[in-house]
Amino acid sequence: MVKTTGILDKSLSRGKGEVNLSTFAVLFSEMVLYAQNRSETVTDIHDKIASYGKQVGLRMFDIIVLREKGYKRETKLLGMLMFIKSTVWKNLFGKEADKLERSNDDHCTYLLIEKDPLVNTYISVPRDKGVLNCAAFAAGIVEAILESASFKCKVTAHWHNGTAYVIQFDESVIARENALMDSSR
Amino acid sequence: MSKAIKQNLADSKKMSAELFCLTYGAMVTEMLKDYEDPKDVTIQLDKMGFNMGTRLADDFLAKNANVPRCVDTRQIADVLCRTAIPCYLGVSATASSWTSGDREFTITLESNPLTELVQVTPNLVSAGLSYSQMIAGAIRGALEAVHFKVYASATDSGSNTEIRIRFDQVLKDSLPAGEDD
Repeated sequence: MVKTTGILDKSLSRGKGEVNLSTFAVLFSEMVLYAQNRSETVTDIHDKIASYGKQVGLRMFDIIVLREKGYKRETKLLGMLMFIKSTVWKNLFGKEADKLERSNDDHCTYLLIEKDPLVNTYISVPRDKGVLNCAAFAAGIVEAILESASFKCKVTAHWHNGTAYVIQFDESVIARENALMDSSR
Repeated sequence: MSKAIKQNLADSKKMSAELFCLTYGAMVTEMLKDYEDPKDVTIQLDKMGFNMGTRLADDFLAKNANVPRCVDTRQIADVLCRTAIPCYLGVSATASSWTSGDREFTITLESNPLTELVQVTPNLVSAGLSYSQMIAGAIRGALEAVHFKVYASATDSGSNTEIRIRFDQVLKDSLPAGEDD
């Protein structure tokens, strides 16, 4: 039996590697096509793309936390959201997300807004599937990151001023956050 | 000419190789769940690569107007290794192991952005999964778009990826089916 060097024996790269955007664009379009061929409804496609995003998010979160923050994770909700908006987005897409907002109607809902998501640049949505937003992929990434940092939530991508990622936190998360605020006061 | 190519490389937009790698990984994982046989995944990856290759060939020719028309396999290998692969995967490649009168050769990628954060388990490899088959498929697709029919297969060994290419024939221009009388 030949002993091979596993991936854990190597040291982690510094993540400066780059590939051509066109390569990613065609890969992503093949992925969306694959999801589309295996789904019946628009919701199915959406869910499938989001589930791919989750796979990416889980792994990416580990890398970024290790590399940028020396294993320290955010525990505050707002800190976490800012971390996603700036650090995560920079690592993934090379720029920060455009806006972070809190919904007026619902204290559990936050919006992360991006005018022109990278993943949507090369996808043209057919007219009969108008509600499909392939940024569901990025929404999956965000959801996986928040969930693995124990902020239970549901993230969906919608068309609104570009693309809005609607982050719907679980009641318990908000309650915990408020308790944390009270105790530190 | 090489200066012009470097210029083109600098001009094209770049993105994180890690996102690229993990996106591909997520897709392969999903396909391994969907198909029972890892061999079918390899076939499917090859098909997807083919589709990508035909589109990238257009992109490549549009951006590199000064690439000459290839007349033999040595030239094809040269353009692939010196221009196309560095341009789209951001890594260098070398062609070697020429056999059967220059009709077969191997392209070696010294590091492969697809396998950067990936470990493929040996049982999947022995069951017929070729993780980087998409690159081989893309080369096949891109060459078919410029009328060279080739067969290509990929093998990963350590951080190297080897792509064996067998030249089949030059395709003739033919009318699309149903248009000739």
